[in-house]
Amino acid sequence: MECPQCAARLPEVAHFCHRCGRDMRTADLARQRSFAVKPDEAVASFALISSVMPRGIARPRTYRAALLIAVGAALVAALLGLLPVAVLLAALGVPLVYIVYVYDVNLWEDEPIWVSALAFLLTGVLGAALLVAVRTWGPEPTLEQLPVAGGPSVVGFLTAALLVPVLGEIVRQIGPLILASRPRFDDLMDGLTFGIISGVAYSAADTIVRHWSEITGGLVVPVDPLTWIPLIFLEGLVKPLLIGTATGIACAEFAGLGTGYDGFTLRYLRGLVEAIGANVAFGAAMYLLGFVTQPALRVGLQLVCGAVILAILIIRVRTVLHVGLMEAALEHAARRGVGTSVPVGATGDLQVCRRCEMPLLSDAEFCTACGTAVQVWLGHGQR
Amino acid sequence: MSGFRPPPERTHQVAAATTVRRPPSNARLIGLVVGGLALITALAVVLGLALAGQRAVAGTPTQLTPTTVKPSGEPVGLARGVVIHLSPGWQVKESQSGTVVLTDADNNLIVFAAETDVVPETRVVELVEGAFRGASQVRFEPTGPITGRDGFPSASAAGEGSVTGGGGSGRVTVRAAVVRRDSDAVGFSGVLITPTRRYSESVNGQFTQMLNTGYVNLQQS
Repeated sequence: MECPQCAARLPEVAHFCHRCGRDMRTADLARQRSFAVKPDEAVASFALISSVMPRGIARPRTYRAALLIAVGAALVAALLGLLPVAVLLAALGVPLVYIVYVYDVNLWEDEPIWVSALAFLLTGVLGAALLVAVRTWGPEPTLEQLPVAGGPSVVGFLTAALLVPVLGEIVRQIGPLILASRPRFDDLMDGLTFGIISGVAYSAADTIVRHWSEITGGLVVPVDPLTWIPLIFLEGLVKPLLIGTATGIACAEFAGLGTGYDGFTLRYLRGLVEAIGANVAFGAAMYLLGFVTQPALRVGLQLVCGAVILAILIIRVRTVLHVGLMEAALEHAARRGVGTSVPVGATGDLQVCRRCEMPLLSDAEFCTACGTAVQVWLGHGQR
Repeated sequence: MSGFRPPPERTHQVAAATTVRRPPSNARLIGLVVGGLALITALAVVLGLALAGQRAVAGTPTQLTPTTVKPSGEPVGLARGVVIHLSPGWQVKESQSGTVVLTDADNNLIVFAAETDVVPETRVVELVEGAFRGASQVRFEPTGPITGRDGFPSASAAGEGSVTGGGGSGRVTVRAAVVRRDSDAVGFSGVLITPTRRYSESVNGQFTQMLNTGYVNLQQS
């Protein structure tokens, strides 16, 4: 049969066009119901693993389990009153899972030291320095957050909702952009992943600096479970993924698809503005909700607020990935010509889909069996 | 999008070669995460034990020196005839049943409370320790010994501590004083809470001045 969108010749069993990625069995022309990274999910979905670990889709349950173990360990420590343990686990749990993910998909291309140093350690150190400096020389937030001491102050609000988010985003961009400008790491997936690593590293620094008194306040102390359960979810899951996803969007736009990185384009600028906007909204919500007097309610509201912003970012990052992959496929089809001489069928060099292990058609952009974009695997030790 | 990177070169032939990296197993990945979490836990225990002993030196209390200077400033009544005159820059934030909460432009905080049956055994140090007891959303950990000077008609104490709430944490200085009228043991307490970094003799002086106005009014009423 022939694809009605790009006129490519397809076998009768094809589910997706190997040229333009169109779903051949439904009328979903824009393919909004088949995410290019994981076609059995819609683009507008809150699926976490395929959004923030797009190359980990072959085993999403493993990564889901790893995240649950990390957050669960922090929760258990908090409920036992082991606050130094709970804080450090909440701070470093997601970064640990992410480093394991990078190792799994060999995203660091056998350069673990460079990638770890630039994407994780550099941001962590710079972020910690920034946050300590703000706490040392900026306005003191603690007493102002006591309900009896009055409401928000302009200086406090501007610091929490503008100064720190903007400077923080700049800090988070440095390492990933250096990496993404190198030929081995200039892919959209690389940019996204390095951005997320940088974001979770910053989040870890923020959690450690913010809760330093808990780390140094004694090994075991009594805690209020109703406050600490949402606090662990906030600090140990929502915050790192929120900050990481926001930074990842901008870095993905910087890297772009195709040969070389796209650089400081309008798309990158838009991604950067979105990243800063998300962090400004998060910082403002955390600051203002900090004046809610009931602690469990306060942290609960902060968690809900962070989760809403994260959900929006998840949709956004999926759109960036999907549009990027679809556009690359169309561009490739246009360059090679549509409906012309490219043979359909197996050749001597038969490629296989990394997800479903089915053979790929020659020069395919998508697996005709499961619809996964071939671009998902690029930069995975196969260049 | 600029350019396009061709599909992977991996083929069945290549896959059979040893150059293709074999992905780690699920068990290995989970094992790495669990091992990493165990290392973080061990690090946290060591940090928790090592750093818990680090305590800053607390400030020393200011010995109140009651004066008989005529009070000035806006009067604020507590109860049982106890009246405090506000120092410039301070205003009433809350007022209820014998207790007033004052703040200034820097959001420093003073709580005055009328007291009855103030007995000599009253330990003013406890006022510092209990400064945050009513604020259930805040945890106060002293970072050093709370030193006090008991003795009537006034006693004072001072200490530093770390305050932790859901929105963050920081170090505060707390100063407290108790004043008593000997004839009927009626008196009042005052607690100043200020971020340590923002603490100044000026703020302490204003606090002391307000204490003294209450003392004078107490003796004269």
